[in-house]
Amino acid sequence: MKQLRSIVLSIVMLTIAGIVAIPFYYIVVNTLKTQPEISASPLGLPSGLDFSNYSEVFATLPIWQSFLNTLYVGVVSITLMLLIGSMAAYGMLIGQGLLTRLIGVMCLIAFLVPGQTTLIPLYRMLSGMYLVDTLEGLVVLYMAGSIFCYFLIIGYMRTLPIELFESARIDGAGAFRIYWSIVLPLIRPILVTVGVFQAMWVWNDFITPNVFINSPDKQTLVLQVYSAVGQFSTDWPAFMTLSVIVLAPLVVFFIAAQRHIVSGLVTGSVKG
Amino acid sequence: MSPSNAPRLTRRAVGRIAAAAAVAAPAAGTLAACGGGSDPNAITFLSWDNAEVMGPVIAQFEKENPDYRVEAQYAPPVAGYIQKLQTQLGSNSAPDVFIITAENKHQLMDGGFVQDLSDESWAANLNDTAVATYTQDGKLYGSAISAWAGGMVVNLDLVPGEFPTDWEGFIDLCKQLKADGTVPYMEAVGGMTDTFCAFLGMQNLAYGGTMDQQIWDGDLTFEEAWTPAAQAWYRLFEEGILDSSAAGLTGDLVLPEFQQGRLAVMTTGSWGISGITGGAPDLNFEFKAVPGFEGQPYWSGAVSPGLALNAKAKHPDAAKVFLKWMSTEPGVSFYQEANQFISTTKDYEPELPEQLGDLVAAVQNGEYYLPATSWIDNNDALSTEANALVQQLATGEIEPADVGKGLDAKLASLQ
Amino acid sequence: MGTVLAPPRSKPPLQRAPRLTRLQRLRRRGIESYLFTLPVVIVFVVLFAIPLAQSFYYSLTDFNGYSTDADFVGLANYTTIWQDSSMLSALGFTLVFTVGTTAAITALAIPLALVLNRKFFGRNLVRSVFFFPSVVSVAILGLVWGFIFAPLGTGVINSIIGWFGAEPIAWLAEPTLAKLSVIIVAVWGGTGWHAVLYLAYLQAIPSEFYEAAGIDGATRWQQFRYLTLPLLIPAMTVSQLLLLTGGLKVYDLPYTLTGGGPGFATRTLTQSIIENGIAQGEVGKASALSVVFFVAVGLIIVAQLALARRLESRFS
Repeated sequence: MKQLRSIVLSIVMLTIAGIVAIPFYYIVVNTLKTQPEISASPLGLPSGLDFSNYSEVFATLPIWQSFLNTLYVGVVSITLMLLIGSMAAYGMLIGQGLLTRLIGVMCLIAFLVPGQTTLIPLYRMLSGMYLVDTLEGLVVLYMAGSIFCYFLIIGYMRTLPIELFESARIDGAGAFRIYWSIVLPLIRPILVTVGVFQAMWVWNDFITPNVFINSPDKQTLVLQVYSAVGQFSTDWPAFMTLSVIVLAPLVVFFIAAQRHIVSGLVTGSVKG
Repeated sequence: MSPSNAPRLTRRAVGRIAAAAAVAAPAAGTLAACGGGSDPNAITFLSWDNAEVMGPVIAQFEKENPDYRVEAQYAPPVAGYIQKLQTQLGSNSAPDVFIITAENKHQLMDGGFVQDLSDESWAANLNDTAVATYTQDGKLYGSAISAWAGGMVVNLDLVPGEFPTDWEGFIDLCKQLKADGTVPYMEAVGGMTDTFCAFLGMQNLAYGGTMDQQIWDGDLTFEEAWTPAAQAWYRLFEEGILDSSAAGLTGDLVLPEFQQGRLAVMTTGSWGISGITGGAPDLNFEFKAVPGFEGQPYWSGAVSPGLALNAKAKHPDAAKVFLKWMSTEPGVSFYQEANQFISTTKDYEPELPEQLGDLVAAVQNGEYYLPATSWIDNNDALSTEANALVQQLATGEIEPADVGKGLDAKLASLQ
Repeated sequence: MGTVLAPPRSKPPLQRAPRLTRLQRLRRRGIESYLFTLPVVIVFVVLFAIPLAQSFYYSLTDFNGYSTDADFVGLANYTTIWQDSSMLSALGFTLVFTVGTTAAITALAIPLALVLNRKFFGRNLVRSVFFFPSVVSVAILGLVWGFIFAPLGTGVINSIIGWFGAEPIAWLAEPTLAKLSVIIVAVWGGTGWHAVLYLAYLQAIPSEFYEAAGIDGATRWQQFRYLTLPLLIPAMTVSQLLLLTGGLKVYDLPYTLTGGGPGFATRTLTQSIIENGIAQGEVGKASALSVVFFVAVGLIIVAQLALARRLESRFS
């Protein structure tokens, strides 16, 4: 009975997933076709696998350099923003009083700012710090994401049984030790989830590197994708091929990370 | 998988961040040094074309001028480019050479961000229409070496005979094709189309080429000037050649239909030719002017973006060497080979695909019109409005006369 | 920022007393809590407060985004923004989009998260597939969904309904359908993302709680009501906060899919802000728009949070 239900569930979910995946099918399949094939049937299967789109893109654009740049910016900024966000969330959890509430309101305000409007002030600030056209400058800007991390993490922390923190407090451990060795392991599912979300954002963000990066050797991957965009028309085969190249590492990352999202609370850590 | 993993991972990351921070400081230092401009022969340039197109052109320039070096930056047109340039100008860090185009020319010229180029030796090499586009109060602020035009693209196998030069003739042709079971015509009405713009160009000619100036002077209204064009264009819908679904089409959807021979006539600009041949190398087609609804057939089109010299250029002399090379032979021919535009400079005759037909001569004679580049000011706000109005006309929400009325109201609210 | 750090009164007793009273421990924790929040305060000041203040200043000037100096014009920008006739329809669609996507995504993501939290064959694959729509850049979605919604008989949806003998539908050419289409794509793109968020929150229950509940003879509904739901409510607060702010700020998806058309049907407020600021070089006006927008979004969010707090106290 239980097994049957699991099989039915599998069939239903795989079918829905198949429908949801149609646009991806379209993207991937068209990177493997020649131009005439695409125009003949945009949705059809290719007559043979044609990897010339990929080889051409790798031959003409500095994909590897951009990949390393993006990886560097991504790893550093996500580590930092998770740290800042989770520290803030923990601080808010243990803190009381007006000032704490003020900081909470502050984070909410930050959340509402439409990013487009602060571009010019940010550019002036960054150029004053000689951080325009540096990868570190991008990292600084991406720290804005720590507010988002804070929101997701504090929401999660509030759902945790409070005894988990209390036991360590009674032992007389300092707040920083509790944060480091109790809180961080406990909130791992949300850390990984937020990390995945933010990795997607940083990896795909176009506006920030477009405005703040000038040198071709400091470009991020997404800027390479947009090199296929022209004034009147877009080179769609190149655009789709580049998109697949940009997305592939994210797909691998998500598959690797999702085990940690749903591994649940490890029993050992509950004991405190 | 044990919970103690997480802190260990983070600790390693902290080490990496510390290393990154250590690297960051000297990197910022070197950047400041070269930003200071020690090399008087380095030219900074924000390119409109991507690296694939512009890279070889720059390499050729550096090969022919070994004393000079171009530090190119890239941003995709149009919004990405405008945004980047605007931010750089707003913080005093714009490159020596950048692009002036319809979307930013008024801000650049009025704000004094670009230098007058009219006294440069090569200014005389530019086409008259190109000069007029980027001239204000007798001063030339941009060097545009090419232009594009748009009109109808005809599948010569499906339309073997003479292509009509008058609008009613074209309507009859479409009806006949339709009766024979061929899809005669498609137009992606994302806003103002090539046909609509060409009609306005005909109107502009009828008003002596100063239609927009007259509107801005208050001697003419959009309603008077545009309604005949809108009515002529709306005939497509009245005759059932197009229906309201045209407002949901894009060029990317129409193109395969044309390439596969399922469509007799579509519209596009000269820049679209490689897109057609890329997907259908053997297609027998030719560009044709939009048939005249009164008078001569005409084209939509505009002068391409021009190269402009930053008023605060760090190395203006070096920048001028680059501008001169780009605006004369052999720079023009290299650039011509790299992109889809039709070069219009006087010292070079480009070799172009024969499918362009009469379009080449039209471009070189300036026989094209685009409202957005011809309007006196508020181009972008008016374009947005006009695009929406034309779409509403296509979906039958408004009448032809309402397009001009709507623009009159918009212009009044902006001034 | 130094003032944030330490209320100085609490320090001396801390050093003197070997055993801390409860109050003192609380106070010490207060100081520590500010130390923990210090980085986020710095981030806020540098990346939000200062630029926002500057933005507010621009809204009182005729700054055009290019010139490095600008003249003070008072509240003139705030009066002119209301004269734009298309603003009202932009406001309308922005609200429809926000409410539509928030409702639909919440309704779909919660069951999806509950299903994805159960064991079944192919779960990892399904989870990934649902998540990926949010990974793809919006620019490419415009193209792909353009083919799916194509008004021609060759459009994906139109071919499918064609098998059942239906006439092709002009999805993106008819105002109501265009709005619906944009919302469908947004729901397609956002549901998996939010399901993963709910999924993460569901992990806060140690699985032995469920086991214990099962042994105690709790029904499925009771398990859901007393174990799962209290966790879902805070997740809903966060998820809807994101959906509301994201929805109100939306720009790129409708823009790439329909260009704001047909007519003004799918134009959003942010599109107006961006067009004013970038393309028309009216940064002053755009800043005024975003200040008004910012205040309006703030009010909506405060209302949403108040509602969420009541829900949370009812169900936990």
